[in-house]
Amino acid sequence: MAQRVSSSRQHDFLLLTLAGALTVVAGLAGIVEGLVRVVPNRDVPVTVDLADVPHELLLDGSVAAEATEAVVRVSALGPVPYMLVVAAALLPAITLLVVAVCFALLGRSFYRGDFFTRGNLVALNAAAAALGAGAVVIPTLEGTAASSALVNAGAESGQAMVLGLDMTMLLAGLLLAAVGYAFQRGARLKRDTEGLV
Amino acid sequence: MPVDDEARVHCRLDELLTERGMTLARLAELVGVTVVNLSVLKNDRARAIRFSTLTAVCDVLQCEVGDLLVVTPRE
Repeated sequence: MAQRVSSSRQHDFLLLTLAGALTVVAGLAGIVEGLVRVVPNRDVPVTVDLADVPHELLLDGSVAAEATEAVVRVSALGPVPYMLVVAAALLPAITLLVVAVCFALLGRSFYRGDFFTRGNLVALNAAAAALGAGAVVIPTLEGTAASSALVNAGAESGQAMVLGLDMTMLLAGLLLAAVGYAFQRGARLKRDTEGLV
Repeated sequence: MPVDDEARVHCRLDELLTERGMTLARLAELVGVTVVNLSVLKNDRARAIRFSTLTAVCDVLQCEVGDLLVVTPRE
């Protein structure tokens, strides 16, 4: 059953819906941009982490800097390295898209006055799962793609698979999962009080 | 409590109101509960009732809990 929502709150929920919808558009643009970057299989830019062997640089001949990342352009990648590079380029935008769709759906649902519904619970859990999985899969894919691209280009990196973890994304996922759990309890409470007079 | 047993509780609010010549709206006003909630109770769609609602309704209608709620026998 929909609950009455004050007009100021409705305004907030409308903003949440719009922000979600705009982020969906940004996610779609990110997917297209990622595809344009890595298709076709020629001069594909692959970001390589140099954190283990940082390179000293001199900017403008006077400013000292340290390079911790480099972009390597590789062509004619093998099928597996190329798929890894494509996946690494697209997955961040896809994760953003999934989370944004969930937030847009939540905003729309809140705007209508529906809070502890099964749909909202699914949206929250989906966003949490996307962030949690992305926290491990995105950095791992990026590292592995860079490693395999280097191997394909003839520069031996020594690692077939590079495990990574994005702590910020993981914490955001855990936070959303906690909110999802609270929603689950709220949904149960609502079910228990339905028909109470 | 098994779910089926909820449907066995019958609320005699309609009969009590008729006997006292009182409307549901007036009862809602006196009890301080919305007409919608009392309508849910009257039509046996309520699944639970607060003690505060029960005592307030009984006070206004000057009846006992057993006059308001009856359990129908199992079929």
